[in-house]
Amino acid sequence: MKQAFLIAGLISLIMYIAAQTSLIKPKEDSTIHITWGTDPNPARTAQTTLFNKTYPGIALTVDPQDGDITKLLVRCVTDSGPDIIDLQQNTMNSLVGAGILLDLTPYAKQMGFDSSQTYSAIKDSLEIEGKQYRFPCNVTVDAVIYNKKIFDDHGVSYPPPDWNYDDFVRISKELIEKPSKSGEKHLAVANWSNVAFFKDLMAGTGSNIFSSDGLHCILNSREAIQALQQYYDLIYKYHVISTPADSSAISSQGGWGSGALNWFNEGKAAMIFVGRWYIVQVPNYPNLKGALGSIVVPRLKDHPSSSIAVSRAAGINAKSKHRDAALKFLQFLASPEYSRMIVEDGDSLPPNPEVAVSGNALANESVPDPAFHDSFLKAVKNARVLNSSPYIDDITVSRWMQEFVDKTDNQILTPAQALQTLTVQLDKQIRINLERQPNLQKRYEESTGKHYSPNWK
Amino acid sequence: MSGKKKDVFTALSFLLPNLIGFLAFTLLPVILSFCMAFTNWSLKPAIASHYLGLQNFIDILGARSIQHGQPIYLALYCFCILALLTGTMSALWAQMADWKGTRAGAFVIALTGLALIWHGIHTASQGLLLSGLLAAAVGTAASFQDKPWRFGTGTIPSLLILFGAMGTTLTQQSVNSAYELRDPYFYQYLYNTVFLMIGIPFGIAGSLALAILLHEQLPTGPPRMRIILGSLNLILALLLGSAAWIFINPNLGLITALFFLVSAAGFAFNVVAFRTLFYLPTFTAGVALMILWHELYNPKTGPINTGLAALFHLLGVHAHPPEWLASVTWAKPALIVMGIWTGIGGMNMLLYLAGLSNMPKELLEAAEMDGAGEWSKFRHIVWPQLAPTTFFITIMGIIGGLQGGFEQARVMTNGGPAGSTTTLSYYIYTKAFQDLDMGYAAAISWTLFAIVFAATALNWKFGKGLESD
Amino acid sequence: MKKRSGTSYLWRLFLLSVVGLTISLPFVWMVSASFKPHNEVEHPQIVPEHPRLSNYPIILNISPDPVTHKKLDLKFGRWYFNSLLIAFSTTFLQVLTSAMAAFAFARLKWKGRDTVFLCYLATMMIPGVVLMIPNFQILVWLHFLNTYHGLIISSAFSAFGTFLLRQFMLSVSPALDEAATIDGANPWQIFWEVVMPLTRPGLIALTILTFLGSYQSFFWPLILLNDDQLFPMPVGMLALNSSYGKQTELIMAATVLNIVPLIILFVVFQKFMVNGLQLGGVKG
Repeated sequence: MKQAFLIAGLISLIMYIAAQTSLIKPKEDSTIHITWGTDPNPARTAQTTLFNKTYPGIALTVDPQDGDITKLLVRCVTDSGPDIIDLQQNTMNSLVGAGILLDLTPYAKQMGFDSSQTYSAIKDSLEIEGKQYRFPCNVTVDAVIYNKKIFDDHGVSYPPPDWNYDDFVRISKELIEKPSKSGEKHLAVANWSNVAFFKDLMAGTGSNIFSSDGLHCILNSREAIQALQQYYDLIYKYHVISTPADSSAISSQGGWGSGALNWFNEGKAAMIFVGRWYIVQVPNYPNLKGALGSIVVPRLKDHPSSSIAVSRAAGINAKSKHRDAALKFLQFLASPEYSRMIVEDGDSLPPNPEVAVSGNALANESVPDPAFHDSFLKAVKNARVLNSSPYIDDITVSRWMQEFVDKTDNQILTPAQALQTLTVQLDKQIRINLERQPNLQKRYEESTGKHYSPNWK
Repeated sequence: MSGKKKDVFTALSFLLPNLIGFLAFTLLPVILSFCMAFTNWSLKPAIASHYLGLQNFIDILGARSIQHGQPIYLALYCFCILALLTGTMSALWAQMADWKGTRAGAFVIALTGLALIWHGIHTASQGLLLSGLLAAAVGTAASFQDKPWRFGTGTIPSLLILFGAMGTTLTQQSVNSAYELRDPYFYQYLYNTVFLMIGIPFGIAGSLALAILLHEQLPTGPPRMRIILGSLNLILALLLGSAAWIFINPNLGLITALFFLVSAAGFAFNVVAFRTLFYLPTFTAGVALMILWHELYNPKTGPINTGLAALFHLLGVHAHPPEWLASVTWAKPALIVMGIWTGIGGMNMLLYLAGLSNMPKELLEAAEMDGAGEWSKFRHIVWPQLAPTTFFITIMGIIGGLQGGFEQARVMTNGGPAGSTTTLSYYIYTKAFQDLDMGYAAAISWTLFAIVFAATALNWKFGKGLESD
Repeated sequence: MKKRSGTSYLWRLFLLSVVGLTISLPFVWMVSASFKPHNEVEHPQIVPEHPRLSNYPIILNISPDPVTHKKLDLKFGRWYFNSLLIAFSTTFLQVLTSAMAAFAFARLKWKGRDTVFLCYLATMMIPGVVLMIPNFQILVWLHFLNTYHGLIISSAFSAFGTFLLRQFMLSVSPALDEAATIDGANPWQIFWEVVMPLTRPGLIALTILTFLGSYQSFFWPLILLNDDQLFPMPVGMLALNSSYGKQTELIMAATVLNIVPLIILFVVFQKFMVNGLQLGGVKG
């Protein structure tokens, strides 16, 4: 027994020593080492290599994240976070509230990465109350990508410019009902995320989540309910977009892809509401080559076409030991070289609008057709950002929005009921947050000029 | 050195390595989290931490008035719920300890169940209907025991249940309109957690059944015979498999071939083949397996629904297969099935196998001499002998179940759709790392701790009773 | 049970084969998915129509990824080794320290023993999520972040292991060590020569459980480690589930490679383990 333990101990010691000695340690020289907390996908390698080549003396490495902010938070609150923080929009106000993100305003202008250097549509998602906290790695606006082969197969004409939801329903019905030459049946739309669809409709109706002072939720407004009702009708009244079951495989899953996206990839669905990032998938599907067309999302009656703009954007850890080097990375993101790389990869729109002036400039190997890329440029002009409230974290808002859109999807609540309940719940949470957090009470007094009492209106 | 001091010194020398790690990486964090539960500690530095007393716990468990309600109704309602809980517990206890009058008590419970069903139909309330059905079924079953019909101390718990059930249903309306829960999510997620534990008894029964099937070698005869039978199965796998592949469809062919392959392995390696196979899911558990099941449950293209659709087609049933993880109704059953699949051949089966081979042979032989059937042997000898093992497995299952569901919610469903797969442990996670409210999260943890502790303690008490039976 | 003769055991074999089929199907699906091209993964057909071997060379960095036309640059071999190192060392430390502590709880008499043990038990009932930040903070103070030893030491001490082994040791007859004491053996000799050999089933069970738990753990290593040279397999595999599309076929290929050592381990230990467990059994 003793021997067994002795041998086991020796083996683990030898393995440990072998592992330790074979580690490739960074050389001890004047190089500054900084880390970038992001998802470790294969494209990051090329991006960090380009950065390291552009800025000799700085060595950037990726600190892998799993698309959740837990690791980031645990590391940042214990002062061991990455220098550069890559984040989705709905985590920004939490991270700013937690004091993790650095206010970039003093540096942005002189270093050339202030929010005027990118699309005006996403300005609001980079700033909180006039202070800039991040700069985009890429910018996503939704448009409709369609598969021309399926339209031709059914003898349906492509979506007309300036189309509205009536046209959309008509075209979708034709695609579903008209027999095809090949004899195959197709779905009209691959619905890959119910919340993304709903938010695009919210942009289309011009509605928003919070009142401008952030104290009240306005999701119970007529426009917001109209948006969710429209989504609901498309599923259950017109039967033109797929039901939650069909869209499930990815709606609740990390990792963008799979499920509904794959039906579109495989030519089972004719249309998909998606950003330009979709085309990173195209090389895997030779059948799609030359078959893709795109157009801005349909508009609702009396409203112009509009969709949501989101960006994966980078901020800087307020406690970073190498702030200057990290700031250079944001400068790099604003550079045309980086943007050209994004154009080539097809991972959404590049942050630098000067690189994306025309469809021609955006055309790449996967989709050489300039007209295809034009739609995304058109879309980004009218795109909007939904607002957030300083009194409640966006992560909570997203989580609840998902829950209530799911409930509508599953026909547990009607659209109006869902949004009214959600509004009550969000208002209640704002109230609780104010009760629990004295700093929010101070904010309330400063911004409204009224004295805070638990019974504020 | 005196003897006592020496004892402590020796004990410390054994304990120390573990104790240091335990203090640093378990006890210290536990104490910190306990302190946190009484503060508003947040990960946001802008929020000054201060002592909150019991406020967090009130926010988790309590209710608040939304209209001018009658406090007396609320008090009555709480009292009735308490009566229901103590009634249920003491009814169980009375049954175990064989108090007088339990048969009459069971009859009262059956009646309560009927009343609840009647009320449930009237108010179209699913919850009432289900609990009514449960009470009626249990009550009726227990009424058929071999005991005298008379009232006694054992009837009192059932009267408590009757009183509690009546009281809660009567006051519910007025309480609901005047009060709301401070944190309705807590109760919803507690319900989810308990619901997901339905799989535990099925898993235990399955493990036991497999252990009984596996515990003796299959008498496959001499080696020559084994080789012949094994190869026969291989040939069958090849022939029938390819026939089904060509004439029906490839998937069926694969399944047929696989079936005969597994039995061929059974002939060749006997029970060892099956033990290895059944333990495989436990070995591969973890994130990868969850990704795998997520694909299997894909409502359109996943193999499970493809199989079900083919089956429905064959039977001529016009029904859609369930939408599994996408549907509020089916997400929980989907996770339960996955849990049973993963755990059925794991550690529990091995523990049962160990228990079975520890069983004194003489007992079984004696029973056989008396001409006892298979079932009666199981009921009167095997099951009581295995009681300690069952007890251990149940306790570990309940502790694991109440704290469980975190990884699968994080990897497979994000707690959705519509929060239907969020368990308490995942709720703690979202509160801590999404809403950054560590104080509140710690308070939920300690509430959960209290529940786990109570469940374990109860089990311990009842289980000890069972064991000495 | 009754001795059966002739072919009446066939129904048992049939039942076992049905269960075996159910258990093996998902694995068959996994293996076949690892040979599918990307566009076939979601096909209902289990057997790939155009099977390709290239998924394995892709994750092993031998051939380029079809999406980006670049090599993925995964350090697969290194991650394999790391997984084994971390699991092996954690298991070694945990079994050794748990056994020693269990001996102190089950076999030695000292003041406060039961109180300390109760503390051990109670901590098992607290959800681990909430302990993460304090735990992490301690590792920061110790400068153990982003190191092998930080990861190994922080998961090498468990109340569960101590509990399990204590139960096993309690079932060993005390008469044996009393006899040994009379023969003049000291506690260490009793521990190694009398109690440990008789607790073998428990030790094996704990070894397997700890090894599996450690080999499969994902969340804690993810939070603790930065450097991709240190990753265990599950964290490294994150690279396959990115915004470039979840590449299920690659994930499945990596998973197949990941569980191969576990299956070998199990086949080797299987007989040993089941037979070993029979000697002891668990007392509630």
